[in-house]
Amino acid sequence: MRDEPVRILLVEDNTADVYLFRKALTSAGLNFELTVIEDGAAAIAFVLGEGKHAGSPVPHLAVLDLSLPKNDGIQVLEAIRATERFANMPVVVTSSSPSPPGRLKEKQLQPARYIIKPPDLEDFLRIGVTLKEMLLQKPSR
Amino acid sequence: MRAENSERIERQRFETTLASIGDAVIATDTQGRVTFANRIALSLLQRPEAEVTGKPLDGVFHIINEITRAAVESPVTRVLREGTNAGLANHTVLIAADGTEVPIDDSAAPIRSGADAMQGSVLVFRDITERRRAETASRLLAAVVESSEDAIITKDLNGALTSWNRGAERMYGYTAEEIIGQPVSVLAPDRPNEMTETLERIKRGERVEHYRTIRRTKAGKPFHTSLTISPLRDANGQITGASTIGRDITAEVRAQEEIAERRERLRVTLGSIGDAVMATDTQGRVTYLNPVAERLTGWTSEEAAGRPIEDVFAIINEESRQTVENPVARVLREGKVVGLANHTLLISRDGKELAIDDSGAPIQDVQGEMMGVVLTFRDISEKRAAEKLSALQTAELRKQSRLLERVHCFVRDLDDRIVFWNRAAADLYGFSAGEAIGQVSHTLLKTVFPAPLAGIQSQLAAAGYWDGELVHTVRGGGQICVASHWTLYKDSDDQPIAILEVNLDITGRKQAEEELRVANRALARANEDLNQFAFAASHDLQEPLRMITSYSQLLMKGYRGQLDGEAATCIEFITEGTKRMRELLADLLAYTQVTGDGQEVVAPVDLNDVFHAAVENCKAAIDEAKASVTSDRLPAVQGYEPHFVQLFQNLVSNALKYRSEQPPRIHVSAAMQNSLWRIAVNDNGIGIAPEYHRQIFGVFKRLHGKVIPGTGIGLAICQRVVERYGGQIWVESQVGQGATFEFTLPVVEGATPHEG
Repeated sequence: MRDEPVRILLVEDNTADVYLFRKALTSAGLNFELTVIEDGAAAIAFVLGEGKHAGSPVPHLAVLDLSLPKNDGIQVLEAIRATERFANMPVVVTSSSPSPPGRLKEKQLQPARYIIKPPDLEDFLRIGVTLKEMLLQKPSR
Repeated sequence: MRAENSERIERQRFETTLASIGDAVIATDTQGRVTFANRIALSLLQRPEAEVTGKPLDGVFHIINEITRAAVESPVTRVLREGTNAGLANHTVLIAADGTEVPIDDSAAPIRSGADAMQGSVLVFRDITERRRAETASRLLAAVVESSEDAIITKDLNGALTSWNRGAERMYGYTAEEIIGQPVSVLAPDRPNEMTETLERIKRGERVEHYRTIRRTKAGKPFHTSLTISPLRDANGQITGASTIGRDITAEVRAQEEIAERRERLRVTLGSIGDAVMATDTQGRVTYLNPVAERLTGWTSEEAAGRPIEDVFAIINEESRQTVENPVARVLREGKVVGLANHTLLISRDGKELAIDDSGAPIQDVQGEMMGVVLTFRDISEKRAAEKLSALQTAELRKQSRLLERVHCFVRDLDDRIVFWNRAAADLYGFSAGEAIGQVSHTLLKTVFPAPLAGIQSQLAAAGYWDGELVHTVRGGGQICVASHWTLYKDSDDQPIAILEVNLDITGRKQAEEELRVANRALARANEDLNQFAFAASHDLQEPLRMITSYSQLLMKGYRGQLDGEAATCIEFITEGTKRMRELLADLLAYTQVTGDGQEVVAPVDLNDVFHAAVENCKAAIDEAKASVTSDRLPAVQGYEPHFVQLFQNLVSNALKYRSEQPPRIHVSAAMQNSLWRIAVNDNGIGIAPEYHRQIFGVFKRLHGKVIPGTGIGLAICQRVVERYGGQIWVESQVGQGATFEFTLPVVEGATPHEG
């Protein structure tokens, strides 16, 4: 079991950040399988199991950026919560804004964690450790 | 002898008898000669005995027919010729010796001695003048009674009717046959007492004259009658009954009632109308005043009656004060309706003067004959006073025309009709005074009011003036906006008489105001756009900046030891630049977030708490500088707490940054001044030259370059916070003498200020 990689879904349009996430996860020493989706509409299609995503297994964790092309992160999160298969998947919301937007609270879309993308490299790499701890604490999810 | 003697005695007796009887007697012999005439006969013949005795009768007894005036044969002639008695024809008149004529009634008879021999004749006649007169009078009376229109009836003392003329038949409907013998009470079955009383009075010999009562006809119809009742007496003066002359006065009574009714109606009408009414006869003497006329003239109708109209209705011309011709006199002269000249004053009995308006008209009877004059007038003092006052005021306004030429104004009466219109108003509205005067101003100018007119008018009545903005339409249809001031004119009795409306054309000002509003809205929108742009820019710029930072660090980390010195220096500069840019963006973001859009929750904020939070945030720098930061008790203000924390924090960190050689001493104090809190942050730092006191509050303004770190936005944020809450911020400082930053904040209503 331990040899099986953790499935992580990263919804992020900024390839520079995708690179840094991959770096952070690697430096945290995680055995992971990263699925990257670059816009909101594609993310919703993934959740709904449409097209090429039909039959994809539910990831162990999702990292969702709020500002996305097409549908934004909040709409994606709504789709996740509304889909039974994905409803219990832990979702980490990231943003460069210092405070989570009011809409998250209004819609009662409490994410598992809200992370501000830090400008400092070391801080960013520490996100990998945070995610690893989350996965270890709740292996069932 | 004996026989002769006895004959003589016989003759004596005969003559004595003849002499003593009342009729005239003449005896003749068979030849027609007079043998004897008694005294009455001689008296009627107007002759002495000597001229008669022994003479032929025809010589002294001349008779003629009264109607034909022809001689009539003497009855003696006929007796002697025919031997029988002869009566005289009617209408025989005896002509006496002196020519006088006497109507007579006569007869003649033969005188016989023994059985057959006629001895002579005897003529008997009498004067019937008296009888004829009585007969004539009686016939006349009967004719009068019969032909009279009046009912003439008689009754006996028991009240039974005894005679009934044709007038009575016509009036009552009973014929004489059916009514005579009936009791008089059938003529008034409902008034038995009246009959009895009248009869009692008659029995006492009294006369009842023109007694008005009601009688009933045979058909039962009542009618008004006037009765004159007199006692009837017999030859001995004994009262035997009563005669009644009755006249039907129903029509007369009706006419009187109608007149009375008409008079009453007229009296009520004249008494109730608002105008004064007087009447005179054709001599111009007063006959009547109605109550209004009594009040205005001061004369009662009774007192004035019979006086010349000029006494009661004295009028003069208002200006000349000369007596003017009385309209009554003119009506009497011209016979037609006349109106009064203008400006007439009535002088009342007690000398009061009243402006009146009057007219006179002839009163004519049915034939069109003038019977008098009726004069109608009314008190127009109030109306005249209003005219006079507004004329006065108009004159006053004209006097001030030089002043008024620049002001658009007009005067209107209480019905809003324009009575004065100045030249400026004519220029503004395009209507000349001639066109405007008499018009209702609101109609002429199509006035649009800011509130219902009734409300404006009651305000005007209460306060005496009204101010507001109106929209008027000028000639040609253009609309203008005016600032309108209305003043209510009152007379000496405090009664409103007119309104002065002064209008100031503010169309241009209103347009400018509107343009300013539009510009302000545009500016506010632009400001908001700029703020949003600054927010978005500072926010979104963080993203690529983070990339540069992260990747330059990644480069340093990944190629540690592999980069030469110059490459390492380059990367260091990249890192430095991005760090500085990050600070600038953060401050810019903070600055844009202090906006006036009011989205933050506004609540009472205790500045003591704010001070402690700010000190806490600056703790590292305070410790590092070994600074002393203190404060007095501070008040509570209204606002969004983070704004004030930022304000205090920026001022404290500023004081720390620009410190002098000596350890910094920073003190915050508060005082109330002009209903504002005045808060001062004093330091002992390097101070600021006065020429920079203003520009230090500008965005990104820095005085000291890179010697002292900073973005130059801190004081700009402070100013923005203070101004957002309606305060002001400034600095008092000299180089080398420290600085005191002071700002004001509004006092919170109801909040208890802290001491100190």
